[in-house]
Amino acid sequence: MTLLRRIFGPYGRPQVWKESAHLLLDLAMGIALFTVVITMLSLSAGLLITLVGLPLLALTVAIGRWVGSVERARARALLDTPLPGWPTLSADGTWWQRAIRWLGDAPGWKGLLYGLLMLPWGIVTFAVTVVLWTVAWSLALYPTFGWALPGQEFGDGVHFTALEQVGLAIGGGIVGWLLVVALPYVIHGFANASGALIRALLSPGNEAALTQRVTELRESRDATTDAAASELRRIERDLHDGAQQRLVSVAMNLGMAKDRLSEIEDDHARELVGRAHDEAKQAIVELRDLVRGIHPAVLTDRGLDAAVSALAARCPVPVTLHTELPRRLPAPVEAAAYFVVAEALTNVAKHSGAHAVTVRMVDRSDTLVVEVVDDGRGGADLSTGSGLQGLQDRVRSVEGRLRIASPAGGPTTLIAEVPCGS
Amino acid sequence: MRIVIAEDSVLLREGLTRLLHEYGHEVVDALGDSEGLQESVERTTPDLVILDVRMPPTHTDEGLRAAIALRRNRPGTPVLVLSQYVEERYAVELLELGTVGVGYLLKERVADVREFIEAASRVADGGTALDPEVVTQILVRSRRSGPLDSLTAREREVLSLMAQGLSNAAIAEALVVSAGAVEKHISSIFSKLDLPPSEHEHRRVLAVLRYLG
Repeated sequence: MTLLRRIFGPYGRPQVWKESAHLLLDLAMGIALFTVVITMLSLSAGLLITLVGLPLLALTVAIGRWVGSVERARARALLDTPLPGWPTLSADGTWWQRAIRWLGDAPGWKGLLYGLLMLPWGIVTFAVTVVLWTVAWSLALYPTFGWALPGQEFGDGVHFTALEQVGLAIGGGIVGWLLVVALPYVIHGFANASGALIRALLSPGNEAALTQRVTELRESRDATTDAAASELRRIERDLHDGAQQRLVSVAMNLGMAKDRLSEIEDDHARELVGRAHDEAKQAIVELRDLVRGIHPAVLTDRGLDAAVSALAARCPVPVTLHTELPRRLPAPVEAAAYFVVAEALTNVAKHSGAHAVTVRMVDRSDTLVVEVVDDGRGGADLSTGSGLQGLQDRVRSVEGRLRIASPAGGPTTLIAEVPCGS
Repeated sequence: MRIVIAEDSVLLREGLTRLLHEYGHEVVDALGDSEGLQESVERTTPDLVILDVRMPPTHTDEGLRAAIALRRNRPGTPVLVLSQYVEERYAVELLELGTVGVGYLLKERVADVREFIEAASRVADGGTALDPEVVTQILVRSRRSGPLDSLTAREREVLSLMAQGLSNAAIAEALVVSAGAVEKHISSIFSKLDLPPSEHEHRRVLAVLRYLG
């Protein structure tokens, strides 16, 4: 069974059939492309003296590009090799500028070269494919029909005896079956070569494709980050314009009521209004903290330096602040740096037992370095604190790095480096 | 007092008007943005202008810029700026054009109506009113430059209250010490910070803030 599967297995799968079809088509494509390319090239070369030659040559190069897309489609369909296409050529400018651009288009010229190479290559693949299929299968099946053929005569009237004919049938059969087994592999090898030719001449290749993919992903990630950030700013503004103003108004009215009530003798009412007043003020503070946690307005309006000074001012542990931030940075970078400092200072205040913290932010034109150092008891770990983990995610989202050194007994140093363009 | 208000939230504009009216002050004009402020002040010559930092069209620091323009064109016009958040540079920018009649408070301070009215009156009379949070922030900032390291904790407290615009008497009351003790602290602060003593409250604030900012 395994032997049978070994011999016939590949024939039950579409691969060998599709690859053979591809190799046979190589010749047809070769003839067609060779004819077109040679005709166009010699036509435009001949007309180059006149002005018509140049646009014609440009058109020829354009055909070279078109060859690429046809052949990539064929490779995708028959060789199961999806290949990335070339980036499209800009269509800006006058038709004259466009023609010049076409003339210098490397992918187009490579397509033309491919068209020329395809004819000799197509002849080879066609011959190999046809010969291999016919010889392998006719030899393999020879024992089943050889007896029915009329007596064989080879060359100079050499005659085989019946025994020799049986031997020939068996020997031919063996060779035939070996070829049948080998056929899918040979075909596959040639198909690979064909594919390699297409990949080499008609596609920007994997590395370029990956680069392009990375660019696309980065763009889409940036768009997502920007959308999220602007949504947060909208929420912040809505809260500020709506709920916050209303709460301030409520607290103000309660304040007035409380002041009025101090003149009349109703302890109960005074106490109730007093409590409502305090709660309204508390609500304002809580809402302010909430908004600040979403996206602090001062960050949008005044930038990182101002926003971090505010953080430092609120930190119960004394903060020393060093900043070298000569310019506004991209909003996602500023936000990431701000939240690094915010979270770091919160941790310092909550867990470290530190007496002093130093925050340093330096814009090194291509990288923003944020450093938070405290003299606390240390032992902070990126893998344990969920806050630190969140920070790391945040820093990663802008392609930054977060490192922390916090030996038991302190001190703790947290360093975030965020690329910030230039 | 005759007061002009510029505040984009209708709710707060009307609330402020009501509040000031309640305490016997007259709101002579109430604007929704900073555009007509200059003209309004020319026309009504108020004792005090109260404005919000964040106003249309960009909702960033229109109010502050309007306040600075106002004080440039009409030096000495008392201005009380209300802000949603504390930004020490707003304060420094405001104070750079003189400390006579300048206030910078968090918006939510209006909830403590009596204190707010007092601060407003102080500004209208040529004094200063800085939010305690502004002062804290300025003190944090200046830590890097070091001059405050030499101050004792008590002297820091006194400095912070001074910066808020409190008088010696008020500082003595807040810290529960004698006026003499406060005097002593203040002269010690001035000598440590290398500042010549001066009679006026606002001069002290200016000097301190200049030094810190």
